[in-house]
Amino acid sequence: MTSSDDSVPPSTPSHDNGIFSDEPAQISSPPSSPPGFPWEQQKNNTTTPTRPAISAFSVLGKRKALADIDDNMRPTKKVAQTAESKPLSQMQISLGQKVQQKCKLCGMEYVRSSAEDRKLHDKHHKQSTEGYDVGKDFVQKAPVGTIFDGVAKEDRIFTVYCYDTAPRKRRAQAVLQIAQRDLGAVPISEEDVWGYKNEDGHVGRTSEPRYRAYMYIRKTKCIGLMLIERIKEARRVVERDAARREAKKGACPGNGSALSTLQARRQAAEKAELEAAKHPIELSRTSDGAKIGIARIWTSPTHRGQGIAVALLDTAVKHHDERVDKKVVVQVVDRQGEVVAKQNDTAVCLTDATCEPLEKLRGKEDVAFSQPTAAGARLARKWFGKLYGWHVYID
Amino acid sequence: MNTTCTNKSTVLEARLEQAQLLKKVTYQFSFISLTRMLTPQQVVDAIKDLVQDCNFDCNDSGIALQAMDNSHVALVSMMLKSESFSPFRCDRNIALGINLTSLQKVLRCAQNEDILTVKAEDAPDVVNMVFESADNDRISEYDIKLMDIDQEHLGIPDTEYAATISMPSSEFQRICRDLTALSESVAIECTKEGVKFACNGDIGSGAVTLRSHTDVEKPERNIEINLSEPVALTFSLKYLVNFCKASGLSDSVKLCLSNEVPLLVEYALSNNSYLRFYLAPKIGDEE
Repeated sequence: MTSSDDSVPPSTPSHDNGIFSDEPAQISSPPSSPPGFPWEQQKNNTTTPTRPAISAFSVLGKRKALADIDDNMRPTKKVAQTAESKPLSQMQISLGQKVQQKCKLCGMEYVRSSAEDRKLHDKHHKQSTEGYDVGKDFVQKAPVGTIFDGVAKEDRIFTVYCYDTAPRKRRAQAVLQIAQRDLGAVPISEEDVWGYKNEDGHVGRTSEPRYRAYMYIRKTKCIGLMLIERIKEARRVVERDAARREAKKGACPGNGSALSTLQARRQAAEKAELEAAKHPIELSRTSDGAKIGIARIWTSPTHRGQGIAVALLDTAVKHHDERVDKKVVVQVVDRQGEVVAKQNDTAVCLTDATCEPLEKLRGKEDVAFSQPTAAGARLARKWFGKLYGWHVYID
Repeated sequence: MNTTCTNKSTVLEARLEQAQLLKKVTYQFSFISLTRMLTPQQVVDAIKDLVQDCNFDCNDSGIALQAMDNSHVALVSMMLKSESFSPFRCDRNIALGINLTSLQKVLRCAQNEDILTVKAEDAPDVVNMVFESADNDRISEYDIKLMDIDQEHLGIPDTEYAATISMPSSEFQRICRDLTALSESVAIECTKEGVKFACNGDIGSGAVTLRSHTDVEKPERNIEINLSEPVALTFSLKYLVNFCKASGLSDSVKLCLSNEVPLLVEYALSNNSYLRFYLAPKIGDEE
C-alpha cells in the first residue's frame, strides 16, 4: 500500500486576488498535490512570468496548455522545431473568484480549475461519503468464522488480522489509513499491525497476533473500522475530586413527588454527563488487568449515529469469547497434525490452535480504550454505561 | 394565466412567449462544461464535469445567470431582462440553484413555440415550469428540484475595449468552424484595414480577413469595426466554436477585444437581454 493513494488532501495557500489583481501566475501554480519530478519543479521555478500590464480585469495565470487542446494534435516534430511556432499557454479569467473550494460534504479544499485536484477530490469525496470500497471478493470470500452481523440487514462485520491473505490486509490497511487521518491519530506502523512478527521477534504463525481489525461493511463499502490490541493492563478513569464533591452536594434529594425526583435525577445525570465531557479524563494511579485494547475506532463521518461503533465493540467482545470457547475443538484438530489445520485454512484454526491460552473476558471491564478523543470518550461512556470507572490504556 | 398558483405565495412568475429562447440559452451552458471533453480518458471526466449547477438570480429587473467553466478560462453571463417576459413579477430577490442537465431535460419537453411560464415560491425547493401550447389546449407542467449552490457572484467590470467588431453571427460561426479544421487556436488581429482571423496548424495555415461593410438592403449583414488601437490576441478555437452555438439566438455578434483582457463575445437578445461570453486569451511562453 503506497501512501500516495490516500495522501493527505492537498492544500495550497489560498490567494485573495482582487478584481484588479496584479498577481500574475500564482493561482495556476502546479496543483496542490505531491510535488512532481525534480526537473519539473526546476522548470517551474525558472519560468516566473513577467508581470503583464494591468487593465480592467486582468487575465491571469500562465497555464500549461490544458489537455483539451490536444484534440487535433499530430505527432509532427517538424512543427515543433520551426522557430515561428511558439507554444501558447492558456490564460485564466480572474474576477476575484475563489480559487480554492471547500467541499461541503467531504471537507476537502481543492482548486476547482485544476483537473488533477478535481480528480483527487472526487476520489476523496466518494470515499468519505460512501465509504471505502473493499470489493465483492473481500465480502464473499471471507474465511469462515470471521463474519458477524451488523446493525442493518445488509451490514456485516469482518475481522482481519495479520495471518489473513495479502489482499485482505491491504484493504484493511487502506481503511485504517483513512480512519487514522480522519481521527488525527498517530499512525501505527504497517509492519506492527500486519506483520507476522510478534513481540519476541519470533516469526511465524505461532501466537495470537497483537492487533486485529474489525471492519464494518455495508454491502461492499467499509464505513467503520476498529483496531484492537492485546493488552495486559489498563487504568481506570476516575472522577475528578471537584466533580465528586459537587455531585454529592447536588445529590441531596428534594422531598417532592416521585416524578419530580425522577426528573431531578435525570437532569443531574445529564448535567454530570456534560460536566464529564467538559474535562479531560483523569486516570487512576494503579493499573487493573485488561485484555482487549481499543486502539482505533472510527466510523465514516456520514454514517455516524447509527450504532456502528457500538456494534463493533460488541462484536469484539463476542468474538473473543467465541474463540475461547472454540479453542477446545480446534486443539483436537491440531493434534492430528498440521495438515488438517491447513486444509480447513480458516482463521479460527490457525490462530486458536497455537497461541497462549486465551482467557474468557470478565465482561466489559476487560476492555480498555487507548487515550480517547472527545468523541471517543463519549462513545466509551455510552458503551460502558457509566461516566467513570471504565478503562483506558496507555501505549 | 396564473391559474395553477397554489395557496403558497408565488414569488417569481415569468412568462416567456417563446420557449425557444430559454431552450437555446440553456443549451449553451451545458456546452461550456462540455469543452473539456477531448481525449477518451477525459470523456469520463467530462461527464462528471457536465453535472454543472448554476444559480439563476431573479430580481425585479429580470433573470441573470453567471457561470465560469471549471478551468476558469471562459465565463458566461446571461441577462434576461424583465421586458422579455410578459408578465414578469419578482417580489423578492431569489437565487434558483438549478442543475443544468435537469433543466435541459425538462426544456426538451417543450415545443419551440410553447409559452413558457417559470414560477417559484418563497423559499422554494422546486421551480415550476409550465408549457402552454399556442395552438391547442395542451398544458404541461414540470417541477425541477432546486439545489443549494454556493456560488459567488462575480462582478464583471465595465471595460473600454480597444476594438469592437460587429458581424453577422453566422459569419463568425463559419470562420470559427473553418479554422478549427486547421488549428486549435486563432489569432485575431484587428487593424485599420480590417479584422484578420489567422491560424497556423500542423497541416498549414489559414486566414480570413473581413473589412467594414454596409449592406443597405440587409442591415443584419453589416460588418462594423470600431478601433481605437490595433489589437492582436490569440484564443482557443474550441471555446469559440462552443460560443458560436448561440448563433441561433441573434443575427449579429459583437466581439470586443483589448490587450490583456478577456475577449467578449456578445449575442444581443431582444429587449436589452443578452448572452455574453468571456474568454481568456492564450499567450506565448516567454522561455
